[in-house]
Amino acid sequence: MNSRKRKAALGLIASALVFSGCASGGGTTASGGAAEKKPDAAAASSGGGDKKIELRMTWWGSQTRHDLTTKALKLFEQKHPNITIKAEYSGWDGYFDKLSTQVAGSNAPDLIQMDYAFLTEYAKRGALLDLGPYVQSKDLRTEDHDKSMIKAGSVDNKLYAITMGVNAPGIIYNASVFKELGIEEPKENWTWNDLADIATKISKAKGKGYYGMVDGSGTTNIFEIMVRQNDRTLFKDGKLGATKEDFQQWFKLWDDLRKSGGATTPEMTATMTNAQETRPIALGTGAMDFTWSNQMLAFKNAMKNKNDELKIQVIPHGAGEKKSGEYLKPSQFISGYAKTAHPKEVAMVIDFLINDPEATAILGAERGVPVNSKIRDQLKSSLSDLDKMVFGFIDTVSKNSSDIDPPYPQGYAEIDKNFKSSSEQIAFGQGKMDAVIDQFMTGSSQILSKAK
Amino acid sequence: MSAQPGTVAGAQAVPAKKTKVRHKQNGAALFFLTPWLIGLVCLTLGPMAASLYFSFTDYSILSSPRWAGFANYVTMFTEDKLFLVSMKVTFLYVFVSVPLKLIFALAVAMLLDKGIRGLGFYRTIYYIPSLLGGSVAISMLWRKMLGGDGLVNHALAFIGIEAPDWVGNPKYALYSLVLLSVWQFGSSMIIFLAGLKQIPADYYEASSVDGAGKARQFFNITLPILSPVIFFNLVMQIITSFQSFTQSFIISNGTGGPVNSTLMYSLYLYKKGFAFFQMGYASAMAWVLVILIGLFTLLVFRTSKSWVHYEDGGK
Repeated sequence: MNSRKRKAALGLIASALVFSGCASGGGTTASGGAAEKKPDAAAASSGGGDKKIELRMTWWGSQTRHDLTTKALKLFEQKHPNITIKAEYSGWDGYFDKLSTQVAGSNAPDLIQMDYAFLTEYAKRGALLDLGPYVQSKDLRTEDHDKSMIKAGSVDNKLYAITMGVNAPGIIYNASVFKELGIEEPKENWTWNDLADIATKISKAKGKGYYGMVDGSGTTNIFEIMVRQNDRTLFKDGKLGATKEDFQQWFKLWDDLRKSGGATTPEMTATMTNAQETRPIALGTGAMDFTWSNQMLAFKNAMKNKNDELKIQVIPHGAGEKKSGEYLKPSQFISGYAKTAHPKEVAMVIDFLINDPEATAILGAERGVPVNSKIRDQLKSSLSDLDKMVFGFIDTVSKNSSDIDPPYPQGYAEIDKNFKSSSEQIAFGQGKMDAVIDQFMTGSSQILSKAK
Repeated sequence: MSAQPGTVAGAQAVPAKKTKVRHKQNGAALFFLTPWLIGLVCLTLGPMAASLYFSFTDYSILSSPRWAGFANYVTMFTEDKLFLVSMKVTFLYVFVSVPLKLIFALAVAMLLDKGIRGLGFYRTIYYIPSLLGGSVAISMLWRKMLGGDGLVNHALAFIGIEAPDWVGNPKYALYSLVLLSVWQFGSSMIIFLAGLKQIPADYYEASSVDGAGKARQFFNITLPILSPVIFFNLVMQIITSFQSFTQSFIISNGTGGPVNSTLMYSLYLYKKGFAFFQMGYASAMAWVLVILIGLFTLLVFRTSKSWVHYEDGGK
């Protein structure tokens, strides 16, 4: 089994080597006739070019997302009968492993759903299409988009990615449990200490096997928020920007919370995954958890007890906070593949998915709140209660937030993994906190200095 | 390749007609071998050569490789702490799981060898785990069963034992993998069973006439005659255990956690290559593994002279 797997991987590399020679000849010449018109031109006349064009698009997500996206793509095909789009979708796990292999084999899909954490990695290595020319030619319209999101999708002043929706980090909580225990719900100005107090109170009141809060000590991007509150950045100029004090403050917070019983046990935390179905709040064994705002729907669908009411609040503030740690984040990007044979059509599809009123009505807010202000207004009339809450939350955050930091540097994936195991080392009591932090910091510097 | 050395050299000596036939036959042989040859070159030799080359480069998958000499190998042994951790985890896994698995396989094989009714049935059900064992579904099931709130702990709680979370605790996580591996004893068991069937019954009859007990028979007849089979199973299991990947990947959700306690060598190699964009380093790790497995196999072969007995004297 294993040797077969290894062989398959090696074979993949080999065939990549063999075939990349032939594939690179394709070039960009084929994009001719069909794309000469505006993407929003009347559906009937879009068959101007006779050439059949096939595009491939890849994304990760839940079943809900797969259904909505394929439906929107069908609509695009109806409007442009000469273009067909082949969908290649999966869950988050393994998505980027597969993508990197496809890029290595010069065989990546034409349209790629991209993540903020990996944007630099792919853009700097020349895998993504520069979308600038298509914005200029109006094939891709961005004038109604939030400027900060254009900035977020740019690397070295070139636009490589269009934001599909806006997200913000928050704390999801089970409001029914708060009501049941007579505990006041968190307010917008709450602090980390409040979080700790509430979590401990809930754990005590509910008894064994129930936890106020999920231990978040291994989650890099929540730690990042505390670093921002201390007016620093997690990474700075390709180096670690967080200081030892940041790490100490962070790990101490969680250490205390574990000791008071307010946070999940190390064993529980270690076996949790990113899937909502495995989180205590969904299983009915926890009251609070970290979330990204667009995941509220997924949480709601995963709840064991469907009657419980879920709400979201901002990430707690730091005690002597220098600036707001909250930020708006592109939940996902969509990018083009640098070697696509049909760059213009790729731009057309992107434009369709984010600016077309019909397409965006299908997609809704599943990928986050839309970046196009006109589309946002149009959606507002048809929102569900949960979506209304999420839209309101985004409004709250955008009033009181700071700009998102530049995308993570190359080597982030490895650092993220090490951060998690460092947090586990502390939680399981394997090694002194200071020593673990030192080790993590030296390791990260090594990784960052190599990844250039 | 498949052309025999005699064909060309002896061509003048044989009549022309015969040479033609010979050539035709060679051509046919080559023709029929082509699919296999293409497979060998494209799927085995080519990738191996490529990975050997990559192992001396800095290669991020997304951009083209840059020559780096022995840098990857040096980093591995001097800087990379996780490399050593993964090595330790893998050795521990191999040394614990292989003997346990073989002992268990032999024990079950001997039970089945007693000529019980429905032998075929038992053989099949004991073999099934081996067929399924490497699969993702079984690993996920295993993870669920051994989790803190899983079936195993519920059963233990029923008889009054409060058990830890087997896969969530760094002290036990690796042993849940060992357990999973031992559970897949089926394929070794089938081979043992075949070996046991080969032992002539008169050896046992003769020895019992001489007054040998069961234990004596086991150590003086069964084990020596079975030793070539044990040797074969041992080598095969060592090789597959060193390469073990799927189980640790699934049980730790791809992280090798908690605290890297299930970070198998192959898992770390995979992470380096496909998740951390260091294909050159991963290739170097793959070659170290090849050499390591080679050394171990050699070692087992060397020692085999003193404990493996062939009835024909090994000729």
